[in-house]
Amino acid sequence: MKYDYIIIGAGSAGAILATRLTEDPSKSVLLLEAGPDYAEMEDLPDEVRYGYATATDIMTSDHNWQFTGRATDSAEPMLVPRGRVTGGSSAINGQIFLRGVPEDYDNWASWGNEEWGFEDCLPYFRKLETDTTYSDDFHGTDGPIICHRFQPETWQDASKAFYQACLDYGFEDCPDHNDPDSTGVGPLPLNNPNGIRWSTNLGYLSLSRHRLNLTIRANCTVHRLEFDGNRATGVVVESGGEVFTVQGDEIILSAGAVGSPQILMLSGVGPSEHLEEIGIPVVHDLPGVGQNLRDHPLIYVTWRAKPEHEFDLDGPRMQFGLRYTATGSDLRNDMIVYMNTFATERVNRGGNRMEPIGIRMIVALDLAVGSGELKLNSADPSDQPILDYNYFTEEFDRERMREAVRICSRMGEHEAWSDIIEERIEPPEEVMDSDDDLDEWMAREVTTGHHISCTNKMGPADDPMAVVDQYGKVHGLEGLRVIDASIMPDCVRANINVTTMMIGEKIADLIKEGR
Amino acid sequence: MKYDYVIVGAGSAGATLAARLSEDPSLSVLLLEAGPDYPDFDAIPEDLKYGWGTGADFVVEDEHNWAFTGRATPSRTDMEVPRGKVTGGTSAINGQVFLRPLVHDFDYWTSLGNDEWTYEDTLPYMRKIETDTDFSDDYHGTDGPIIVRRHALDSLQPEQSAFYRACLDMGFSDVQDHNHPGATGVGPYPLNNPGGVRWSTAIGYLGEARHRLNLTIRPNCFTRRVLLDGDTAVGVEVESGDEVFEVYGDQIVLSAGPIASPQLLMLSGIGPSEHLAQFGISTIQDSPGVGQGLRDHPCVTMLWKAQEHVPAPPHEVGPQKVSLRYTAPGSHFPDDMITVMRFGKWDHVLVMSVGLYLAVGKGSLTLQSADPHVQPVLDYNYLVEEFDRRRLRDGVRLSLDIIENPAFSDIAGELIAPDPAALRSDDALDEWMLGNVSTMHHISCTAKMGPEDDPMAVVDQHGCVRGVNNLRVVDGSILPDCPRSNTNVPIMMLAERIAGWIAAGE
Repeated sequence: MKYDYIIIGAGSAGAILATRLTEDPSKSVLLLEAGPDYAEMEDLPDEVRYGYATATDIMTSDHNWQFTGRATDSAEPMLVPRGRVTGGSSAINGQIFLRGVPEDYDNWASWGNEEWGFEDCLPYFRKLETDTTYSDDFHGTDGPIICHRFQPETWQDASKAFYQACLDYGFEDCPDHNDPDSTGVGPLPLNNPNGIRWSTNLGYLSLSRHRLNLTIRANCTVHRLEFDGNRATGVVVESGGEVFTVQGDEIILSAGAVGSPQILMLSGVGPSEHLEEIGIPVVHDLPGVGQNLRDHPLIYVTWRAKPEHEFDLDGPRMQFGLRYTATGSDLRNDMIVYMNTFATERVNRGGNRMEPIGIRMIVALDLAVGSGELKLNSADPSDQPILDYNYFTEEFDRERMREAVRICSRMGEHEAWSDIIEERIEPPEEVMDSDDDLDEWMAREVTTGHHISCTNKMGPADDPMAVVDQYGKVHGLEGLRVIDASIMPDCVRANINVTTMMIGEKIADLIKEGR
Repeated sequence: MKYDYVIVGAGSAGATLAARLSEDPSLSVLLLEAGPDYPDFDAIPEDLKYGWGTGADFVVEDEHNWAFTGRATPSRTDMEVPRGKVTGGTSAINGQVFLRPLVHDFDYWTSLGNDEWTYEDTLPYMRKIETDTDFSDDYHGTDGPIIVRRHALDSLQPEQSAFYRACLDMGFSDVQDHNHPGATGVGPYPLNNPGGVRWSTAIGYLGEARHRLNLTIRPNCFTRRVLLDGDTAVGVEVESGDEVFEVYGDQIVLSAGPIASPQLLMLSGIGPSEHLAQFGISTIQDSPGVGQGLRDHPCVTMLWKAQEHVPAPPHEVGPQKVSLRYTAPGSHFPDDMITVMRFGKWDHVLVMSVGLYLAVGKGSLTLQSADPHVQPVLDYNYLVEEFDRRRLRDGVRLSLDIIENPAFSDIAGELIAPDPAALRSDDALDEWMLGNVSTMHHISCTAKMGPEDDPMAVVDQHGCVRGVNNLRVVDGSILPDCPRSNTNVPIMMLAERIAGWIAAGE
């Protein structure tokens, strides 16, 4: 038996592709997921179901691959959570439902991916969402993912203080961060209606899982792809301790920015020297696989709260965000600050999600110029690849982050915080004055924004580092696409879940059109 | 996309077939089940998981039960007919009696022209099903998917022990193993409930197979009919969610049970053509035997108060079932009767079921509507034959004698049912029986196998539907006659045997 499509990974992109492609009952789709599947909302474990913190920390849950990565030379190994459950990382994420700025997509188009200009992406941003706050030419009203913003009566004290401090600092008021021209401070769009993390499992697979032309197989670990010449023909899958081969007319890798390049390389598709070094026979030399690793590096600015400040254990912990353009930068909205109203120590430093240490501004460098790389550690599919994020190698990246840390530190002195903030915990005062000291501190403390991407970038055939074309088709091979965050040519100035879902929606349509 | 095999129904036969056929990774199997599926053992609802029943009686909740209604006799037209609607099918809701047919049953099936169904030919498959934890010899299996045990004599509850001793005292043989060929008499039933867990085909068979990527199990899928291209079956039409889908297969296997399999045949145009015409269904294959020859084990249930001091079996023990198999006086059918007693916790009663295990009367199954959601008319038509009534009357009287035995003097109280008035004459007893006779849940033979010259045979002895290509029926409906045993084991056996033929390319 041969499926029309085999999709590897039921995450932000894969679950959408599976749902859209099976709208045609004559097309058969096999959707493979390494983690478990929960068909009913009631069956979802708490840490997957609820978007706010739960007693089981999603960072250490079985529904998380729990990778580790290298941030910088001086940083400790960094926890890299990725979803391992239907819904993928959309089932374990922070639910920030933010689009990139139009320039992000227009840049992609300008690099030879002409299908991907903002205006061509916009219909798919609208298609995937039901925005319960705004309804206009920019927003969707009947998509599978429900998005809302906290309304003023539900704003927490620390959210209000942040909002006031930002406005008084001179940032613009931003009631809708998904408006293409917007900038400044305002309530974040969030896909967590009533606190439920509205993953692509809940939003999309619930629409399609009854279809007999869609077969969802959970707990299936992909080892590698099979080829006949340069055509991908099947997938070697481990299930229940046994290994099976499944056949498909077209294979789609939606295993994410870590899994997709890893599976390509395990299958002999990647930089040939590296594959030879690991002992994997080369099927097709593609030097770009695993290169160009992008992310949003994060720095925490944290304050101890006054003893009388009350924390809401079960409530939302992130309501507001600030987007602005760094001084001297021509990249609009290249910085994001998230207001975390319930900060805890990192779990790998002994922290507990239910024990607050204060409040925190989380600074994200949303368009770093530096990049890292992903390489195989071994030919064993259960061995995670080496994730080298390689942050802060570029002075421009360090400079923008230093400025952001200083802006946040200054905003923390605003009188709006007088009932909340006791004193700043990090960064310590002694590193604030000297750029070198601050750089050194940031290099130790930087961590991931969970937006690993671009490890199989799309681009025209004449770009030797492009892995796929703008339809997700792997250059030089037949019957194989990659459709997930790994094909973004550059990171976007936003949390990447919305963009990854948009990519799934858009390529599903391109496939239906025969592209 | 086209599967190699589409199996409709994940019950005693369907789950077994799906597990065996998918042992070959090159064969793709789609297993459709109308009810839910519980892949995770820990998530199985308690009423399914535990064999002793969680409610007042043994019937599981409607979510997992088709809850059909049947006509038993003219004076009993609303008999409850539970059938499993969940992966494992009725093996997931049954009484866990793990009893094989008699050698005589196979001899009779063979004499009807089904020469591949001798006892010797089927024994390897009866062994293949089971892991018998009490006996290990040429007759028993030790590594099959279904785990079997018997309650040890020294662990019996007082009322079970009394039953055993009373039967021995009355001259019946002592049976340690009801599954030994030639066994007759009294002894503990073999039960497939190790540790109290109802070891269904969902647990035993699908548990070994559900990880296979060439096996696709789809629960909550209601099959409406078989799709035919001329006289060749090509697929099935299925409701899932609120939508209707068509799925295709090289071979279509109906394992929907003795009620739904003949119903699906008829809804697809395979059945008695006059009857189909009444419902506007055009006949693809005139098959007069579909739905006819309905067999079951009728039983009447007698009740006595248990004396106050008799303890109800603890929850973790569950109802023990010591049973007596015997030949009715003057019957030409050996071991045609089974009497079994259990403790009724709900009213502190002793419940004695007198079962006629080889009735000569037959019933029928006919459509009530062309709507697949409307259950067919189930006419069990019990006790129309004097021979059947006579044997059952004798069984009632034998039960009275058992309770009169000194072994029960300290156990049994007054008779609650039948009313003593019913015992005054054969006519009075017949009237009571006709009003109270019930199913032992072994409906079968509604699409029986048989040779080409038997016009009432629906399938050949390999389960292939006559006159239609690429369509089999593999479940209790193809039994040529009701076996003198509970039907779960013979149905699993026939699925194992037919799976063996299919795998061998026959």
